[in-house]
Amino acid sequence: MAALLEVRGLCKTFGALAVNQSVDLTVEANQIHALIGPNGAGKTTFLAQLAGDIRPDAGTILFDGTDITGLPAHRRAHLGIARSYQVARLFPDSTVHDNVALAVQACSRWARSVGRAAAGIGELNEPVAALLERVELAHRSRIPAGILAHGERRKLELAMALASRPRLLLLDEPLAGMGVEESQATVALLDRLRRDAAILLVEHDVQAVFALADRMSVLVFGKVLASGDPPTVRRNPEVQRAYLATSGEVPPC
Amino acid sequence: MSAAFVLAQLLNGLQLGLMLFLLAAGLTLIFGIMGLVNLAHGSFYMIGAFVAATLQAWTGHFALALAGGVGAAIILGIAVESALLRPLYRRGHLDQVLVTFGLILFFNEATRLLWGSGGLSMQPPAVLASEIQLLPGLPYPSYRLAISGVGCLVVVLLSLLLGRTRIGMLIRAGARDHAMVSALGVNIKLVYSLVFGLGAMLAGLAGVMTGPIIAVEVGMGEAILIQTFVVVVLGGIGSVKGSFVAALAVGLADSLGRAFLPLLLGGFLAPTTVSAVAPAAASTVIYLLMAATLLWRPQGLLGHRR
Amino acid sequence: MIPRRLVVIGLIFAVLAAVPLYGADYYTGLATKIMIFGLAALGLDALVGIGGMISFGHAAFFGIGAYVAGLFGKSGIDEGLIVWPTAIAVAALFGAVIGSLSLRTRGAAFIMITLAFAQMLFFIAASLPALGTSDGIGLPHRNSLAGHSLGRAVDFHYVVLLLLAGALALTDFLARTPFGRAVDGIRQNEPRMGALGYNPTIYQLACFIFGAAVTGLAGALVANLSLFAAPDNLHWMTSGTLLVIVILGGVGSLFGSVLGAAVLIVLEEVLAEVTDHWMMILGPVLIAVVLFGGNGLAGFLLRRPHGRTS
Ligand SMILES: Nc1ncnc2c1ncn2[C@@H]1O[C@H](COP(=O)(O)OP(=O)(O)OP(=O)(O)O)[C@@H](O)[C@H]1O
Ligand SMILES: [Mg+2]
Repeated sequence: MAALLEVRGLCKTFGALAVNQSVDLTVEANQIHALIGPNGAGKTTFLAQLAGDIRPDAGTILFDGTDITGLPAHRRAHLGIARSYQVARLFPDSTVHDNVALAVQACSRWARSVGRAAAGIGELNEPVAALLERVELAHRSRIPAGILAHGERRKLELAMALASRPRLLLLDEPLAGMGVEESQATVALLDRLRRDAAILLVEHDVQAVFALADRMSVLVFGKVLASGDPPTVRRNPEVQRAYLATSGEVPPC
Repeated sequence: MSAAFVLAQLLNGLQLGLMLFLLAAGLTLIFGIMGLVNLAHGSFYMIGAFVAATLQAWTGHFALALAGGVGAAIILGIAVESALLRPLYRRGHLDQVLVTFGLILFFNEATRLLWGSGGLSMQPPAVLASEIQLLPGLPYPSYRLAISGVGCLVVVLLSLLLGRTRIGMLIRAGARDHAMVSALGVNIKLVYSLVFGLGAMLAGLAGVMTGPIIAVEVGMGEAILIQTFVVVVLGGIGSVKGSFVAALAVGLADSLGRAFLPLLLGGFLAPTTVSAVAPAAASTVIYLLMAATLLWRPQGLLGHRR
Repeated sequence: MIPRRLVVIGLIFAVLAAVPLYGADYYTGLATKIMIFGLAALGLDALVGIGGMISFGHAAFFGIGAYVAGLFGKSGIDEGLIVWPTAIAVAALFGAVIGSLSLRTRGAAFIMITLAFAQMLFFIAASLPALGTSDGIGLPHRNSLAGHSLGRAVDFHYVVLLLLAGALALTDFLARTPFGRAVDGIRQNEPRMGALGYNPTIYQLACFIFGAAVTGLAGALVANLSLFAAPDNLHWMTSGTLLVIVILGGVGSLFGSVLGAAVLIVLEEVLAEVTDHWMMILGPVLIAVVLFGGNGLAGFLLRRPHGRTS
């Protein structure tokens, strides 16, 4: 069976800085693939290229067998790729409900959405409520997104990413800023999501990564140092050295 | 149609292109470094021409007029930049557009108040007043050649400044990539004044040089400004080199279009129709060039995409 | 309780409706002019305030509407039910072409390109004999409506009032639909909307065409007011004026366009009484409003802006 996502030789430089240097990576359907690496390794840039926000300098991205390297972001979204951002990008003046409604509505064709008009907005209520329920934000639905706490923004990001029923979720540090309980609930949610979608998970929370990941890759200075099932990667001496050299942390063995 | 006629049109196009470049270089650098959309850039062109025409009428010296016109543009540019525009750099384009539009209204009306609405005229310096025989059968105004000469000189000096000096290279890097601006060093305000002053100077110079071959009148700034916008977009915003290529392309397209479109249309339209349609068609040439470039390379010839 | 916004809108229209009852024809004409420029600026506000697209060439559509009315007038057709929808359609068509080219870019380039295309149309109008060159085209008399003459200033005034109210209601309605919300979202954060699956360009283009159509109608009406379609209607100064009206009224407020037009046109009349060089005063006033004015008159009246520019 072909992989859901197959990235070959992805390169991106900003000026003189090579942020991604020939990155290869595959994500299988219904698996959680963790992408870890020290700060500045190029993880966010990598996700941005998969989502279509940044154009790679070289390399190809295959999604479900088709080459999507040159597609604009919205076409990729239609194919089933959704993304959450490391720095939450919400519509701060709109309510939590309206933020999700905007995401839900994106899945319907635009021409129809003009005709649906005001009554159509009510039509969105049900799926929006369901999504908010799923990330445990239902009680906050009427407040502006701008005043949410950090962890809540993350959950809202997640709800918006889920709105399109994606086949591949690109999550950029979804647990950052969450308390212990919130974090556990989100890990459980991600664990359940595996049934519907594959997840490429960028996350610094090592415990969560090892609890969730089916496979993992380590990105250091824009290069993939190791890739494989978590226990193997963890024992890789190069990975251990890289972590020691750059951040001082050791992945727990 | 003789070769001499074609050559004359090419020279006219070159001259227009070089003048457009003088304006476009400043505009594109100001946008690149400060992120400012400056609609009032044409005002420096106008002020330069008015001051020069007045000084020439008083003293009879072209050199004095040139120095005065350019000087006035520089002073006005730096004054406007430091007094009014600086708080705008961090604001959105809409505010910038409206404030600089307000400046246009003010400058145009102030000019009308000072000089009346009749406009002025300027003469080329005496040594350049005659025509010279470029080819047998091709007399060409020597002053127009001189404009092109000055234009070329500025291109060389500017490329030395931007390509060979430290500050110039920093400015060019900053203009191409706004994030680089922070690397320009601590005295960012000085850099702002420098870049804006340079832009105003080039615009003023273009105004003075063009003065003797056009009518010096209120509104001349905006007429050329809009053509300059075409150049800037065509070349790629922030790229001085792109502006240069685009300026020549626009200058040539405009001159050749005006000269040859009537002949071209004459091939398949009745003479009366041609004389009716040709002026309209000729004035659209550069905009069609812009539309075609947008379809082909939306970021401009040498602009770069995110 | 009725929202404050509706109260303000109601008051504005009450005043406009009352002008012919108490004022001389001069004031009625002035009020009609305010409404027409308000309508033109409403089309631009849909672009700028909701769509986030700063066009400095919106006079193109104003002029197109005016010339459509002028050309019909010249050929003897004066039924508003034919002329006005045609003006709307032609403006929308030009909007589709200019919009799809301009939307190849964003930001500063978009501003310059819209200005350039409007200037191209200006040159064409000012040099084509069929369009009257720099003299423009005169209308023999005002359009009629379903056979009824609108020759009296009062009748024309109320027709314009109804058209303005209709356009405002429609724009307001569209802004609240899923479509309008998507356009608003794209203004706030275009990449984010792309990642959600919206094609930003198509939404913005639809918004651009809508704005062009509204302003095209205003153009047909202004030709009826002055019995004249002139290159001036397409001039970049007119584009600037429309943008000034939008910012005076409050960007994104929609109804503010009428207030902005009222302020600008009355200010023009008053200042022109005082001095020929009134633009020397208008320029600095405009600069002060932009630098210190908050979100225009609508922002001042409502204190909670409905939209803002980024
Ligand atoms: N638009 C840009 N222009 C220039 N440099 C950039 C740009 N975006 C990112 N970088 C640089 O690229 C490098 C990689 O950034 P990236 O955000 O991808 O790292 P990351 O692995 O996500 O780090 P973190 O764990 O801190 O989120 C960093 O050094 C960053 O400064
Ligand atoms: Mg990151």
